[in-house]
Amino acid sequence: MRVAVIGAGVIGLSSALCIHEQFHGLVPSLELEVYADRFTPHTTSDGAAGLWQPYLSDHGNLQETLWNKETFEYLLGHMHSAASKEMGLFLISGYNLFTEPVPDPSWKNIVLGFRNLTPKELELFPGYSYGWFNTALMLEGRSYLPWLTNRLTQRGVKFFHKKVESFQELFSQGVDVVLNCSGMRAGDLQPDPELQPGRGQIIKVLAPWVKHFIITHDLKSGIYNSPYVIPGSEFTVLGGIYQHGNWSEESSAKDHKFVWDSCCRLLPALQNAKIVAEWSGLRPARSSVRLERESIRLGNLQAEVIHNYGHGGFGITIHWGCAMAAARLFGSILQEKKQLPAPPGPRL
Amino acid sequence: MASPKVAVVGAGVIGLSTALCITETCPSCSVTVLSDQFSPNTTSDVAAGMLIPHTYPDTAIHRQKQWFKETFTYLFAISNSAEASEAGVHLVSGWQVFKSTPKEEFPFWSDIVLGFRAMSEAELLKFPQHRFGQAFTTLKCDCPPYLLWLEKRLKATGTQMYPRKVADLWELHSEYDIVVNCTGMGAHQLVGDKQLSPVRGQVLKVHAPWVKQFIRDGDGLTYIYPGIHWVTLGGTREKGSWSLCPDAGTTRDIFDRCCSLEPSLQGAQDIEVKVGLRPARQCVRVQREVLSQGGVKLLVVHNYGHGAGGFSVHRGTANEAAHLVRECISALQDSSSRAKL
Repeated sequence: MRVAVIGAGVIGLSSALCIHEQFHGLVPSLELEVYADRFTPHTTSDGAAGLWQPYLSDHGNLQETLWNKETFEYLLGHMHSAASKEMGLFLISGYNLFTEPVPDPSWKNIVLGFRNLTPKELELFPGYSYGWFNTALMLEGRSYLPWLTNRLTQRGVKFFHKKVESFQELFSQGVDVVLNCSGMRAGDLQPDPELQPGRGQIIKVLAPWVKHFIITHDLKSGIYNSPYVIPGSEFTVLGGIYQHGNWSEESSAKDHKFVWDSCCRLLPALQNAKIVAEWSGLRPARSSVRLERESIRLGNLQAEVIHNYGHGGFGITIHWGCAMAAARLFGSILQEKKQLPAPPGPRL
Repeated sequence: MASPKVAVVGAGVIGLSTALCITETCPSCSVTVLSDQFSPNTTSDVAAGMLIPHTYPDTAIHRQKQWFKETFTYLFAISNSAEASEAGVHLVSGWQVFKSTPKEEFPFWSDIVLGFRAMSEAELLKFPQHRFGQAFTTLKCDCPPYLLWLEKRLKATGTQMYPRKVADLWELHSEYDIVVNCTGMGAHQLVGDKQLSPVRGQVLKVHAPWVKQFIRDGDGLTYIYPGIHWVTLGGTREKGSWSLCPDAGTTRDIFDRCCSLEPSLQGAQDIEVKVGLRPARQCVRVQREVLSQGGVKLLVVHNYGHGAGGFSVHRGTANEAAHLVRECISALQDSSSRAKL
C-alpha cells in the first residue's frame, strides 16, 4: 500500500506522521513517501510566526473549531516533556486589541486563562479600548518541521525533492493513495477557484525584551491587516499585512513601512530593535478547509486522493485536528479496500 | 546654603535610585555617589529584579503598598516608552503556584500588578504537585541594563560617581553636608546595625529564550524568571550565611527544582551561577539620623535593609529618602540662618 503525500509544510508532514503512527502496525505493506518542491526552511509554514490562534470568528464552521481544539490539546499534552524545546513548542501569553467591544471568540475556552483586559492594561495601548488576555502556545515551524521530518525519517518514510505535476503522475508509478497537502499551489494540481492567496509580509527583529504577543484588530480592514508583534524563541515577528489575491512573494517597501511604523507606534521600544530579515508569503486562503476524499477513475482502477489544503493563516493552529481527520479518511479507504481487518462482529 | 553637598553611599538599585530621586526633589543639591562596587558587581546585579513584593514583618502594610505602587507606576511608564529596552524594563506574565492553599488568596499587592486572578483548573494541570495558583502580569528590571540606565540618567544631571570604600560615615563629614546610607548589606559593618543579617541567595542564569512566562513557587524558594538575555533560576534563602561562593550541590538542586516546574529547561544552555546576600531586616530602615561626635554633627539619611524586596519597593523608598534629605536641607538652612542672627 503506497501512500504519497504532496507537500512538506506543517500540513503534509503532520498528516504523514499521523497516518504512519496509526496504521503502520495494522498495514504491514504501508509505504509512505513525501513529495515536495520546497522543504523546511523554505515552506510557508517556516515563515509563519507560529502562534496558535484561530481567526476571530469561525463563521459557524464548528468542524474547524473542533480541529483547532484538538490541535491545542495535542500540543499542550507535549508541554510536560523535554521534547517541547526540540519541537519549537512553548507557552506564551498576550493581548488581542480592539477599538470597540467584540463578542468572545470560539476559542475562548480552548486557550488558558482567557479574560478581558483591565483599564490599566489598556493604558499600555492608546487607541484601543477593548481587548483580551490569554495564554496560548507557540509552535515554531523552523523547529517543528525538522522535528516532524526526524520522526518520519526514523519511521522509514522516504522524501523526494520534486514538483509533482499531476495526481496521475503518482498513480501511474503505482501509488495507491495521494494526500494532497500542497497548500497554496493546490490549484496547479486541480483548479480550485476558492483557493486564493492571502499575501503576508513580515519583518523579523531582535527584541528579546518582548515577552507577549500583541495582535491588534481593525474590524473594517479584516484579519491580519492591523499590526501584530509575536515574540519567538530567537526573533520577534512584526506583521500586519493580508492582501487577498496578491500572488507576489517579493517584499514591498510600502508594506515594510506600514508594518514598521505601526508596530513601533504600538511598542515604542521597537524603534531600537535590530532588523534581521524580511519575508513575504502566501497564506493558502479558502472559505473553508478542503478536507475530503476524492475518487479518481484511471482506466479500470479507482485511485484515491485525500485533500487537506486551504488552511489560510491558521495552518499551525489547526494542523493536528486536520491530520487526524485525514487519517480517519485514510482508514475508511483501507476498510473499503479490505486492507484493514474487519471490526469484530457479534460472537455466535 | 547655596548648593548642599549630598553623598550617597552605595550604587546598587537603592543607591542609584535614591540619588536620582534626590536630584529630582532637591535640584539645588550637588549629589555624589560613592561605592566600593558598581554594576555588574552589586547585589542588585544578582537579583532577577522581579516586581513581586516581599512582606516586611515590622513595616506597616499601607507603607509597603505605597512603596510598591510608586515603584510599579514608575516602571510601568518606562516599560511603555521608547527607553524600555535600554532601561531593561519589561512586562512579564506568569504564575505563582502553591502546594497548599495560602492563607491570603489576595496579597496586598494584587490590585497593583496587572490582571491578578486565581489560576484556572486547566492552568493548574501543568503543575500536578500544586493545588492553587495566581496568575498575573508584572514588571522586571533586568540588571545590569537598569543600573546602567540609572547611572546614565544620573550623569546627565551632573552627578559624579566614584569608586570608594567608605569605612566610616565620619570620613565624609568635611566634604559633604548630608550622607545618604544605601549600603545594603554593608550597613552591618558601616553603621553596626545588628538587626541587619544576610539571607544568602544562589541563582543560575541560563540561556532558554523560549521561556516567556515566569513561574514561582509560593514558598519563594523555587522560581523561573525570564529576562531579556537569560532566564534566572532560583534559589535559596539561607539565613545568616555570608558565603559568596557558589555551591555545586545547590546548583544541581536549583536546576532540578526548576526543571520539575518547567521540564523544557532540561535543554537550557550556558549556565552561570551567581550568589548574592539579601540585606534582610524586619523593617526597611528609611530614617533620618543626626550623628554627633565631639560637638560636630553629621546629618544622615538611611535607606537600607530591603532584603528580598529591593526592586519591588526601590522607587518608593528612594522617594521617601529624598524627602528626608530635603528635610535635612531645611534643617541646615534653618540652623545656618539662625547662626547668622
